[in-house]
Amino acid sequence: MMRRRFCATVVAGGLALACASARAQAPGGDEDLPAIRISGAGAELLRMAVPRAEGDGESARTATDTMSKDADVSGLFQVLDPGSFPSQLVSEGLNFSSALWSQVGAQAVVKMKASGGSLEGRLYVVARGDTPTLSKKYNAGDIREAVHEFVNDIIQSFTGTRGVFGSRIAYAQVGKGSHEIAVVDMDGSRNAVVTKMQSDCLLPAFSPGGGEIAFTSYLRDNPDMWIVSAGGGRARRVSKQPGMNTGAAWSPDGSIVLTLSHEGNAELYRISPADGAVRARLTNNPAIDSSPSFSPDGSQIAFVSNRQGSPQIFVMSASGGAAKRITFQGKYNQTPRWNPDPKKPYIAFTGRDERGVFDVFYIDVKSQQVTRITQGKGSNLDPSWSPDGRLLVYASSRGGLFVANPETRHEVQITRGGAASPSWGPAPKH
Amino acid sequence: MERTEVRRGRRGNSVGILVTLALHGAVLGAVALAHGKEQPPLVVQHDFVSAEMVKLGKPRDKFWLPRITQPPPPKPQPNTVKVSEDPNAKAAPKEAPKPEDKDIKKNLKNALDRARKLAALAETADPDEGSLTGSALGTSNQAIGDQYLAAISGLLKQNYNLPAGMAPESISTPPEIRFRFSDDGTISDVKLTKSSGNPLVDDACVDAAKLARRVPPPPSTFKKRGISVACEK
Repeated sequence: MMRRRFCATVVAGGLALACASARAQAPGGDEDLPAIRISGAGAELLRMAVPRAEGDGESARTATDTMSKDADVSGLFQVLDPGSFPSQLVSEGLNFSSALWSQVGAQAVVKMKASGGSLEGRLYVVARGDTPTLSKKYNAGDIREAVHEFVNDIIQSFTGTRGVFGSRIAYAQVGKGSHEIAVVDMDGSRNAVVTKMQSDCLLPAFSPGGGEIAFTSYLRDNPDMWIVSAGGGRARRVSKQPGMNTGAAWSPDGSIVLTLSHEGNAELYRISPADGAVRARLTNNPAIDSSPSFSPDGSQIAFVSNRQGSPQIFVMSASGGAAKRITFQGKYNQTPRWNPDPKKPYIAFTGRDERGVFDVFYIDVKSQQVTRITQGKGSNLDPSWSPDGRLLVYASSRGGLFVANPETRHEVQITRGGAASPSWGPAPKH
Repeated sequence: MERTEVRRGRRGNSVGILVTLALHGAVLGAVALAHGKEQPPLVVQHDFVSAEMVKLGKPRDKFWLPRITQPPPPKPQPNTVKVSEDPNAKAAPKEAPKPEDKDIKKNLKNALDRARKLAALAETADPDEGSLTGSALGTSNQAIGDQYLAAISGLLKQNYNLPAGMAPESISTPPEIRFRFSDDGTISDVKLTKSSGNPLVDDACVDAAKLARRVPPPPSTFKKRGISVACEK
């Protein structure tokens, strides 16, 4: 009896203490705390660790280097310096300890095992514990391709949209007294010259399928439009009207719109890519109309015109007709490129600011809000969107091509040497 | 004849030089005397005027293309004086007695009395609960509270960053945190009370409070020492 009473007293006392303790811990009682909401979050790079891949020497080294470069170019990740990893983590292999990795500040860790052209990849999110968020095997034949596929999957797991590593960029490579059209992977590897015409070859534009590149060449002493296979080979002259045949843009249905001046004034025309036959004249204005770019659904064209004085960006229906001016800031705006993502109604362009410097901007077509991407780093020109609409490539007076993420403004140089007018090709097939 | 005039001219010059030397000597003597004499300390009364930094120059003409501007640095929080816990610590040197002014002392006393009376009136005039004489627009205490919560919200937002490229769908359920703060605004006990399902989003919400480290010191009318925060995209 006494024992039971003693137990009851202890239990009651314990409960009372627990209640008192809980009351003391709650700051004024959790349920009646004032509540607020915050929104408009900024964007920051996710801290990613890429320890050296396991596997055979050369493949492991290539896999590690490619992964680090891809993560950097994506503009989504801050790749941590592997020199800061303690030996315990370096020798961890494919195993994973979230407690240890959190100590080096990593939010995500990529583990790889490479052998020949095959790759076993695991993605760990430190906050999710020791179970991989993504674990997959890739057999691409080439270890670099396998890593690109793995990176695309990683980007999808974080953002909901697959990455576009493996896509290529065409550009005019500056040579000695001439320009040639070259193609390079978006991470800056596998640079290849696809024209050997020893003339000025400029303004390349990838076809929608990525198999061909239209460009302008002065080979026959006139700016004619040519088409060459993206893999290189003999180019064919498609449009050879007297005067300008420049600034080709492929519509999603496969036709080409470009600037012709054979009727006296520079106007936009739609032509057949097969034989260059003119199908329609789209503009009719005493001013110069040039540099067309299609909206993602192909229903509209953005272009440059000086019909209201200085060069500005205008938008019109893809079948021609009345044009609406969309840029009103700055005196000299050119090279519009429409974002291929329909959810992002943005047009990137080159603008000259009041200091006479060219930089990359984009305008939200709906809100008319202009956002600056580059500043204070030489002149930056001719932007082109990645096929997922997440990144921009542009040429810079610093030499070479640069890729930037407009959301984070994280910028990476992918090629060195003179480069102009890049055009980003379609997403890779997987 | 000529010799006499020359002599007179020389005599006149000598007199002028002597007078100049005598005057210089007198000035130097006066300066030396003034420095030699011990003077009472100069009492300077500082009138503190609250001032605000204003942005100089004209606003940027909207005709020009925009420039990238760096966000302004966060406002520094007022430092609190920490009392040493060391019992053997030396006492701070006493301040020298300040000259008293009877009028100032009297005015200060009157001002303090007035402030006390106003504070007592404010406490009775602005009850937390509504009253028949209350304003339909709310009490001033509530207004101060709302302003304070808005200030906290702005401060947390400066440190609220989601991983780049994160899809808005990732925050279908906004995470919620709560934290305490002391009288000087120091944040403590940050806890996740509702998860979004995505640990990276949850961490961003928790970090918004942890990185802020402190909120503005609460006004005297704001009695709570904790807050609940929902983090949306």
